[in-house]
Amino acid sequence: MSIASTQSVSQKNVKLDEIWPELEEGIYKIITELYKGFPKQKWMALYTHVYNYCAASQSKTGKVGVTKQSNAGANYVGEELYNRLNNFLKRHMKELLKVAETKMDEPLLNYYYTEWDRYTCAMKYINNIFQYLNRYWIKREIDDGKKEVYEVFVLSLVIWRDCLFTPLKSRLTSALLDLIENERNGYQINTHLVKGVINGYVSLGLNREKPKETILQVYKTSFEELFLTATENYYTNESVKFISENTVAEYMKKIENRLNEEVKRVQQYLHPSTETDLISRCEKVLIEKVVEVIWNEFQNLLETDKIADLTRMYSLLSRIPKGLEPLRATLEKHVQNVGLQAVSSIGAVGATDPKLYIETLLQVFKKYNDLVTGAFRCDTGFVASLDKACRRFINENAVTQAAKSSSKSPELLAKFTDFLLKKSPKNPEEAEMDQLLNDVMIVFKYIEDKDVFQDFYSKMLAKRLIHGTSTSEDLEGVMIGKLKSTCGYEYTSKLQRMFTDMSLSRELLDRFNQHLEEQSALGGIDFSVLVLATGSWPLQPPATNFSIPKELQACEQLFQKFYQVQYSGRKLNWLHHLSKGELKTKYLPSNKSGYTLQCSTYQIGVLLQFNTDEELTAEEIQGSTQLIDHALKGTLTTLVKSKILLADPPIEDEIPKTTKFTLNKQFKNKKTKIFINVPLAQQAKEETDTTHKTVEEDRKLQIQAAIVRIMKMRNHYIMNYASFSDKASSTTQKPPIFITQPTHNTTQLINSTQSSFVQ
Amino acid sequence: MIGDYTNNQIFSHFDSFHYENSYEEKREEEEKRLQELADLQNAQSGKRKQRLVKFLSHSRHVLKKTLSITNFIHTGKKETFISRMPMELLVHIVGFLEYSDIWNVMLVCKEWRAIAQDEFLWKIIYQNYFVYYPNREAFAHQRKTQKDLHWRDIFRYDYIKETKWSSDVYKESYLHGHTGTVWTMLYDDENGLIYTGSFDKTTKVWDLKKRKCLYTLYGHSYPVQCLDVDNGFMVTGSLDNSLRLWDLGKRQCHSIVSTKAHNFDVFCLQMSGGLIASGSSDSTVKLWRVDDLINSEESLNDRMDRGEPQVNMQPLQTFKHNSCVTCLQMTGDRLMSGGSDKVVRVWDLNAQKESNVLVGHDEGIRCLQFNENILVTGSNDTTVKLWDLRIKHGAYSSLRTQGSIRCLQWEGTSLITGSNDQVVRWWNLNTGASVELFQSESSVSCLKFKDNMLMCGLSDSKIQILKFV
Amino acid sequence: MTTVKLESSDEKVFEVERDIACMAVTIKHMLEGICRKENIDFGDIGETDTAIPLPNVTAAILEKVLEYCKHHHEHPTPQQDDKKDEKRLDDIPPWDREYCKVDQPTLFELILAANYLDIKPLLDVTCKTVANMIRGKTPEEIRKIFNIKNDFTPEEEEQIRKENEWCEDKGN
Repeated sequence: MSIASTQSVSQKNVKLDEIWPELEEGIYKIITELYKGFPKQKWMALYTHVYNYCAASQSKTGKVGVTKQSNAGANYVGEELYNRLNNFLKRHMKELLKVAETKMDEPLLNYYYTEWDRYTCAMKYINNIFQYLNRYWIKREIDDGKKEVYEVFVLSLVIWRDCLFTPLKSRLTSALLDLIENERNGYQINTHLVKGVINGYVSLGLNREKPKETILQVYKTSFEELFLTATENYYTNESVKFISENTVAEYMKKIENRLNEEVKRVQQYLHPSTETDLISRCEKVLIEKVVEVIWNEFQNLLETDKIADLTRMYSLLSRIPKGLEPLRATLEKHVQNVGLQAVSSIGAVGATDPKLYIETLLQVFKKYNDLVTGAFRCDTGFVASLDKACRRFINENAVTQAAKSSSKSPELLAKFTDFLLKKSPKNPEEAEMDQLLNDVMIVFKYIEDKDVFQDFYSKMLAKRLIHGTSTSEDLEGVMIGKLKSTCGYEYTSKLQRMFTDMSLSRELLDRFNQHLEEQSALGGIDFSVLVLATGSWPLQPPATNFSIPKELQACEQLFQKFYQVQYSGRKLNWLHHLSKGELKTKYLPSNKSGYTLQCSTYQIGVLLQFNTDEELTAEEIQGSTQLIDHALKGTLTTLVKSKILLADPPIEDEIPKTTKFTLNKQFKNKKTKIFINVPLAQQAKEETDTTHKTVEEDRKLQIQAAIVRIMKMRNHYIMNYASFSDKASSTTQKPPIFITQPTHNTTQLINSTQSSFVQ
Repeated sequence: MIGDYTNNQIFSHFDSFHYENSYEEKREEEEKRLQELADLQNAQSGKRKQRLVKFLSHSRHVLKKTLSITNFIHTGKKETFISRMPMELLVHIVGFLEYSDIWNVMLVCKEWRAIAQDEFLWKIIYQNYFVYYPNREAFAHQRKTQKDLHWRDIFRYDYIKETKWSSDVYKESYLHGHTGTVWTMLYDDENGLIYTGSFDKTTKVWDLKKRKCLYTLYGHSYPVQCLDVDNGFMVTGSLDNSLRLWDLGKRQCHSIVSTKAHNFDVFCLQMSGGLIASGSSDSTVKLWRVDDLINSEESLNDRMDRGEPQVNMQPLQTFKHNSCVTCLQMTGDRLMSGGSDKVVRVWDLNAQKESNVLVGHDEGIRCLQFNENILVTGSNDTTVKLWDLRIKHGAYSSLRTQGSIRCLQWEGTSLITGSNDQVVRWWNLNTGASVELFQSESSVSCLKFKDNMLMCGLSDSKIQILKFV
Repeated sequence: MTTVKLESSDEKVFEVERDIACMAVTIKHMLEGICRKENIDFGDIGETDTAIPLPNVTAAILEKVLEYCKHHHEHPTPQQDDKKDEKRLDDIPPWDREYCKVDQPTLFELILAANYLDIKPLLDVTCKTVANMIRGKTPEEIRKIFNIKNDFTPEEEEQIRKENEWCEDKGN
């Protein structure tokens, strides 16, 4: 096992002068012509030289003495070799510099890049040859905090930076900038070269603390700053020139391209960290500086509906701070104007044709909604502008002005909804319905007087339910659901109750009919009743007395009895004015099978008199029916108009009490079932007015309640009016169902203080 | 042959050194031998060295001496192979040795002496000997000397500091004043002040130099269990479930953070940077933000004069244990708490959640202290455990005593523990060796040490101060 | 599987797997094609078969070194994360311990070769072996082991002892 005879080859005592010539020659070869290859033997020989010098030639007996100063401890060898390498590299740099100084522009860059590439490659190689120096002497010096000692490869970069790069850098950078400008001007450049040189800049940013990493300091100070300034100048010139010669739309296309180009430029040959700065500088010059010109074009583009340009404008302006703000105001105004114009163009028809009116509103909304969600990418600011504009033109336009009421829109909307939901041959397809109801909701969202809508809607719903004219109960439910999700439970609770009442009534009626069958009490009369809760239904009590004809009294009493048994303590009020019935004629010789007359209860009351009498005066009819003048007149007029009764003398405006009525025995009609209707227009008009009135009353109540709440809260009465007004509107309801008006409040305030909340 | 390696009896080719793989297992046998050795030494060198030898004999080097009889002498060979080694390799080799071997290396010859003087060698030695990598600048700053201290000197300083504990000679004195067990204590090195909290419901502030009580703070209705001082303010936790804040400048109670800070006794707390962490037997650790409170000029009396109710703060955060929380420490965004549920829980204050649970003790944990990655815990199971927080699985070392551990403090490689067998013990964390510093007259409930001074709060209401020289 | 040829100082050629040879960082560096851009593997140009001369290593030692590389190439040691273990003298794995049971000249030659070829694990294990030889010895014993002459005068020796008095555990 023992190798006693070892010829120790490892410990030659080596002097630097003996090895340096060979090392120098080797290094020189590597640095200048590595591409020719470098033999392994040679590499190993050089490494061994370095090793031998560092490991073997130390004077171990150097400073070892028993003195107090001998704290430094062991001395490693390497300093002299390090210095020689250092000097060698510096000399090499001088030679390179000499050549470089004869060159300019692209040739300079070419030269610099070739040499850099060659040098860094070679130095990686040489670094490994000097690895032993790195491992011990250099490591210790660095550990010891010596700032001027570096690993060989780092050293080579430091030397390059100090001896070659620094003298050349301004020329290099300006050559680079020239190339980049050429590229901006549309010429092909050698991006590979630019990238290579710039990477070199990055590599030269050496990090003292962590030599393995680079910092960007050299790149930033020697290149990036200048580059950014150059960019700014270039684009300032270009943008001023271009915008004076082209349209704004063209300009926007141009800068969009330019910005894309710059992003690509960074990816191609700059350091990624430059992108943010570069782009923001470009944005500043290309967009911010000419932002007013761009703003001014906006209105124009809106009017001409240039969607592509608008999209571009949005994306450009959204890049800069506050770039979009003026546009929002412009858009708002524009949409408002378009809306107002659209409404006034349909003119007075709008007030009477809910369908046309609502569709006109929607058309405007949809157009700009598409713009906002498309070109403006649902930007919240623009959404708000659109909302504001829509709210304005929907609540106040030619039609509402003509009606002198802002409540016209909700009224028309309610009517439009009624039109959709009421059974009619013109009903849209089931599939369309959902979309249409959504459209209703869009307009509804903008309606300020949601309570007006509510009142109209509930009236119409009540009618649809009572008269059974609803298209489908499902759709009614869907619509109420939509309202509920927009305005909350309270808003629709009454509507919901109406539905419940309907189904409860059906059940009740079933039971009643069963009850009748058991009793077999009613012969010949088909009787049905709806029991509706007073609070939930927007129904007026009858405006007139009415004594029900005795033929019907039996039914009524039976039901009353039946109901009281079921629900004792509840009071039933009969709404005869909303009731209707069918009569069969037997007195007409012309038609043996007889006509079926569908008519209101009042009309039935009148007609049934003629079962016993041939001729009756108005006074007699009134005596038996107890109808007041107004109601009697309406009833008789319709009957006469429909030619069932004959008046003598013929009636004009007023019906004198002595006018005589007889059955028209010559009555003829093509249909066998005849509706004798109340004059609709008049009725509708009346209803509209009363509705508006009820709304007004409701509001008063709510405001009073709010005022009382506030006073309870504050516990004193002296209150700034303005704040009070605000308070009142915010305490009423959320979301606001109607907009409080100052005049409301003042009067209400007086009212409620008078109605003496004060204690 | 391979199978034999587990059996520790294998000697190298040179027969000159012993590969130790399982020092721990051989302990008993070793101890016997050491005892003999100690006896021998005793007889020879008198009692001054007795303690020292007893301590040092725990380290493995003495053992080795008895084993290592050099057989390796290549007679007739004039050439010294080792002298042909480059300097860097010799340093590399010596770097594997421990400080005690370096002295011998120094004495071999001039060349070796130069190697043993090497600056970087000593840096390595320091790092091997002490638990931490020291920062030379910080050290120099602390000692108020210039930067370029030789690593050997740094080592020497810390080393001497440690060895003082093994000295027989100490001065002893007492602080009298409390009338009940001194539960908690804090030492302010800069101002030479000691703060103590006691069973007698009071907190006292002492001047260490003059050995007298400066002032006493009254207020708690039950014993004071824990206290901490930060930036001129003291916070105390008591068995009356409250946390009180004291203005040390005005020497009065500043405010009651909460009269019902916890549902039961407040056991432990720490205050730093306006944040208080308190642990209690209601199984919770709570965090309180008090900087606003501290900054308000009003004192408790001001508020009481105005007849305003006490500020009862809400905790910022509450962390749950399964049982009584007995000790905690908060450093940076890390909070650790130990409890009767036998575990230490590590909380990440940034994420506001538990980040680790350290399991290993067989009984409840009584005290803990951590620094960087090292955690030391003392428990009723009579052991002290050392944990490296970078390693997930369990404690890396366990030190056993005769009684359940009441209190501990460690610094560098020194650990001092007080246990309910009334023994105060000094440990070298690196070697696991220990020395019984003294046996007190009554049980030690809290202790603090600084350099070579040790202060203990005793159950007989005294505070004992020992200075080792 | 590529192989490389290594030639010892006494001109003996060893053919080894490239991966094994590359455990020696020096050889790895040399074989590395550095300028990847130009696609030239400088070590290999037209001379793939030529042996790499290692003028500082004898055949006997090179053989031993390669034995180590081969073993550890086949049995890679798992990475240890505990910093404390790195400096421990008693953690030498069994195979390595056996491997280091050689006479002093060989051991030192191995250290030098490991250092020259930059094989850190081998360097550490051999240095640890030497450190173990020093551990716990008196200066005189150390001198004997390594055959070193005491070049201190008694006064110098006394002075060193005095300097080190602060550490009372000087060994004797």
